[in-house]
Order: sequence, then C-alpha cells, then structure tokens
Amino acid sequence: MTREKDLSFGRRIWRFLISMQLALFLLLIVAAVSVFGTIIPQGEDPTFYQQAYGSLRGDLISLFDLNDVFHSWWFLGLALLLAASVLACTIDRLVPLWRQVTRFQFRYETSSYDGAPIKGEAYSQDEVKETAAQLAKRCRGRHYRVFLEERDGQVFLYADRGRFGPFGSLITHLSLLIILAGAIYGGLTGFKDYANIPEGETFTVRPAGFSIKVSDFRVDYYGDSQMPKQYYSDLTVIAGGREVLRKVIAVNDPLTYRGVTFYQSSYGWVVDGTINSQGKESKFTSLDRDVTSIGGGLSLKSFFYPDFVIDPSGHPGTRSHLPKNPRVVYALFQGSKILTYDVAKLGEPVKVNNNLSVIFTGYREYTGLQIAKDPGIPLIYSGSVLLLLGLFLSFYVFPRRIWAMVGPGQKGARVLLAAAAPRAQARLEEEIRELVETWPSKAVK
Amino acid sequence: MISEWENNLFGLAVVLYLAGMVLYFLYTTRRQERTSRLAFSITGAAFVFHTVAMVIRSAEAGRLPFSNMYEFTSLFAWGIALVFLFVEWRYHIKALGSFVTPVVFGLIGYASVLPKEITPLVPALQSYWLQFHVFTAILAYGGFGVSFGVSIMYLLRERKESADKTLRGFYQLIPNLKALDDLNYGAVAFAFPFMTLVLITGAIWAERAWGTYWSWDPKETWALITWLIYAVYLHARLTYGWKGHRAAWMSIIGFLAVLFTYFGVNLLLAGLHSYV
Repeated sequence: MTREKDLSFGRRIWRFLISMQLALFLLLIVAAVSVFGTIIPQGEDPTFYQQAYGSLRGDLISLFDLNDVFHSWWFLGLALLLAASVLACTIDRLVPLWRQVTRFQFRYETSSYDGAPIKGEAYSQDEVKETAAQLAKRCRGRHYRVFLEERDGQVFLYADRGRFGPFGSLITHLSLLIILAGAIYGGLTGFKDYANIPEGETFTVRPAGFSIKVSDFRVDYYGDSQMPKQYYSDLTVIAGGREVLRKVIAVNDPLTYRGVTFYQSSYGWVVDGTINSQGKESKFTSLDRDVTSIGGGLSLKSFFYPDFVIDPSGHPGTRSHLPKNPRVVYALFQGSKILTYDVAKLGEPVKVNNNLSVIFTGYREYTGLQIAKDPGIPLIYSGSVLLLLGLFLSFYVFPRRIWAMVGPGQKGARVLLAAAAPRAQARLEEEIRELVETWPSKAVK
Repeated sequence: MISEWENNLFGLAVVLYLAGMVLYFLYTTRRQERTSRLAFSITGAAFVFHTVAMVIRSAEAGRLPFSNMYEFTSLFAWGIALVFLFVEWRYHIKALGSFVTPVVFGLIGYASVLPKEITPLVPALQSYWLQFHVFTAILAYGGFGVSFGVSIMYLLRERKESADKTLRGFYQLIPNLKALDDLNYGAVAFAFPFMTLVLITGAIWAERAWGTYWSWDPKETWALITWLIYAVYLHARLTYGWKGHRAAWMSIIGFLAVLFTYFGVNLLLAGLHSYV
C-alpha cells in the first residue's frame, strides 16, 4: 500500500477524480441544487426576489446566482468536475477492460477449478475427444464462442458470451461526455433569436446571412370551435437574392436551412397605418398590444379586435377570431404623456389636433418564429444513441465464461468445469447443469 | 364527452382494482392460497378492463390516450399494474400485492375524479415523439413503482427479523431479504434504461416543438433529478455494495422523486410541461 504523502500531486488529483466517493457526491449535489432551481423561480428581476423573499434572502439569492442556477458559474463548475470524474474513470478502466474482453486463458491445472464461482464435474462414457466435441457443440448451440486446445491427451475448453457487456458502462459514460460536449459546443457556436414577422414581410437572420419571407400565416381550428388545431406559416428562404427553399411550417414541423431552424412559436395581429404630422406623411406597422415608436417623439399602443364588441362590463373584446367587425383600440403618447385614446374604424382618419392625424389603413397577421442554430445537436443525438446502446449492454448483456478440462476417466472421459458470471450467476449455474445433463454422473455447485 | 362503454369499463376496472387490493389485504391476515389466487385474478381482470377502456378511448379520440392529467394518471396506474402482474406471475411473491395495489388503486382512484372529456390536442402535443415519450415513462414508472413496493417489504421484514428470530403470520409471506433485494435491483435495472429514453425522447420532442432540447423547465429538471437518484443507486450498488437496507431506501427516495415529478411539479411549480 502506497502512503498518501508519497504520491505526487498529479497522482493524488487522479486518485481523487477516479474515486467513487467524488462521483456519488457530485451526482447527489447536482440533484440537490437542481431542486433549488425548480423551487426558486428562475430568471426574474432582482427586485422580484427582494419582494418575494425579503432583503437578506433576496441578496443571498442574487449573490449565489440562485435566480439562474443552471447558468451559474458554480453549476457549470460542478458539471465540469463531474465530467472530469467521468472521463478519468473511463480512461482508468479502458485498458484493463480491453484486456478483460479480448484476452482469455485456458485452465490447465485441476486446482484452478476449485476456486471458481460455479464448479461442475461429470463423467461421460465417450472418449475424451468425442466428449470435448459434444461439450463444445452444446456451448456453441447456446451462442457461446468456443476455443479448444489439445494437450497431453486432454482437451481444454474456453467459452464465453456477452463479453462486450462490460463495455456498456464505458460506452454509457463516454456518451454522457459526448452529450455534455454537444451542449457546450452548441452553446458556444450557436445562436437563438425570436422574430415576429407580419405576413408579406421579409426578416434578415443576421448571424446566418440570409433572409426569410413570410407569405402567409393561418390557423386551423377544430370544427367550428375556437380551439386551434394547428398554426401554419408559409416561409421562403432568400439567400443571395434568390428564393432557395420554401416550406409551410407548423408546430412540431420546423424548417431548417444551413443549420438554422425556424419553429412556429406564436402569432398575432398587426395594424398598418399612416401618420400625418405637420404636413409630413409616414407609414407605420404596429404589433397588437405593443408600443410602437412612430416618429416625432410619438408612440402608439394599439389593440386589434377582429370581431369587436363591448362586453357587459364595458370592456372591449372580440366575439370570434374572424375579422367580421375589425376595430383598433389605440392610445397615442408624447413621451410618457398620453395624448389621446379611443376606438377607431379602419380607413377613418383620427384627428388628434390641427397638426397631427392618424389613419389605420389595414390589418394583417404576424407569425412569431423561434430561430435557432445549434451545431451541438448532432453530437447530442449521437451521444443519446450511444447512451442507449451502453445501457443495453450494461443491463441486458451479462458476460458469462466457461472453462473445461476433459481428460480420461474410468470408463470414458472426465469433465471438470468452472464458470463465472458475476451478474448472471443463477442463470449460468442452470446452464452448466444443462450442459452436463446427458452424462451419467454429474455434480454442479 | 366520453363514450358510455369506456366510462363503464373504466368504472368496472376501478371497482375491481379496489376488490383486488382488499383481497390482497385479506390475504395478509388469512393467508389462504385461494385468497391470493383470487386477488391476482381480480387484479388481472381489472387490468384487462382498464386496457379495453383505454383502447376504446384511443379509437374515439383517434390518438393514444397520452395527453391530459386524467389520461396520464390512468396510464401511470396501468403501467404499475402491468409490471406488478408480470412480477407476481413470474416470481409468485404473493405479499407484493398488498404493497403495490394500493399505489395502483390510489392512482386510478385519483384519475377517476379528474375531468374525463376527450379534448383535442393543442398543436404542441401533436407529435409521435410525445407518444413514445409517454410510453417509455409508463414503463419506467411501472418498474420504479414495483421496486418501491418491494423495498417497503424489505424494510418491514428486516425490522421484524432484527426484533425476533421467528417470523410468524404475515411475515412468512414476505420472501427472504436476498430475493427482495434482487427483485428491487431487477425492477430498477429494467426501469432505468426506459427512464433514460424518457429524457431523450422528451428532449427530441422539445427541440421539434420549441426549438430547445433542454430548457431547465421544472418537469425536465425533476425527471433529471429522478434519473440522478437512480444513477446513484446503481453506482453505489455496483461499486460500494450498497445492497439491502440502503438500496431499499434509495428506491423509496427515487419513487418519491417520481411522484413529485408527476404530481408535485404540476401542483406546486409552474412550467412549459403544464399538460400533465
């Protein structure tokens, strides 16, 4: 046993990384802090935490990034330490595991059969070679890989199956590293964006260097109900001045071009209009419920009601999603001061004062698109496939090994058996029993 | 609206699950082979009617019944019943019924008071990945549910064994600790790959639907926490030899995390995954 202080610093770090204590500690601590990340609302304003948790706890939450646990430096640190531990364990076990899987030895000594986890002994009436051939055939019939060697009138057998099972854990751990690498790579090289694009307009995806045109947006409803069945946007990709790709996307059916994917995410109305300020005319497009700056220090907040109605409590509302009675409820601001607000019909000029009038000319729908490029995704998905393969090998493929020594017996041959299957002991014991079943004298324990 | 057939069959299944549970309880005191056989048959019949009710619902809805609280709670019970019936049929652990059927009945009883209307799917839920996601969740939760029942049996028998050497009455029905521990591991080992698939298929679905494969939503995070707990279970077992007592406690904690992922997150926390 090497004393701790004799070990070099690097060696000690290595020991620390490959220790199971560290791995278990990290797994539990990641689980525990994740609980915090679900109980404390994430990504709110600092003032929210001050109000909800009081000033001291609010400060603590901000200090330790508990308002954004999963993107904090210490969570990333834990994840990286866990990754380092997984990597170290994988490297540490690679060579011994490879040897274990690829190498084998016959058991030549009678004594080496004594200590085996499963032992068997049988006497057959056939001669040595015939008996060994039968045994080999039975093993092969059970999908074992069989090796035989003759030496001094005796035949030695080695057989195994499921030998790649131990690789399962290796592949599982490696695949987790691939998934983590994919997440980091995607985070560093990808981008995310969001755009509300009115029908007929084109949006330039700056980081990607191409544009997307929305020709149409529509909603399908279930029967006559108000319940949306699906949202569709008719998109055209314009790159280098040419239309290169066209697709009608829907929720769960995005469009991808050069690694950039467009997801149907939301929708709403926009109102178009003209403003006449001191004799100058200019056009504007205002998103429903949004504040739009319309020049000259003026801003407009508009609400679009396709089927306008004043409900019994006196509030504006809409009877349906169909534009049967379109109206705009608007408020005009000069800075933060409200100038006027009212309900307007389309095409009817709204005169604010002698120098200022507004006219709402039409309405359209806009589509809300989530735009994302994540080059890490192929890594993540291949990591996931490997993860499943690794788990399959770990949980369903158990290595089983059988050794036998067939020598001359009193009336034929004597078969000595040894077998090992750390994770399928009972099953292998049963198999060994079946292997020697036909021979007149046998014992398995 | 749901069809009368579905409603009646579902109601019949609830009553039979209850009867099965009562018989399993009776068996713990009367200990007659006949009672346990009857309990098994009745629970099996409940499972069959439950399955038929769900098939009818699928036909009515034109999709698998995977998408609201009622449907998923009913499926959750179905998954545990499935794994339980298999284990009981294969390993004949009669006492297991009195530990697992209450979980099944509790879930199906809860489902029976939830709104049962077949609602059309909102666009985000129209995905084959979702169906795969839910199906794997059912199998994973079924395995974890059975390991939970087995672990409680383990702890009970263990406590009794340490108190007095001779096991009488009900305790004779509980298999020995080694067999229970093996079964606990077997159920977790069966469920863990499916739990992994739950996370993977959920991520693929989220990527297709929202453009992000992982967003640290409370539901996702709790599914990951559950996965981490069972990962600790497996590592500690294989390398530290955490078997028996400790493994039983880990299984119980793991299943509590499953239940929290399912109920706690919906009732206490808010997020994207607000359908079930």
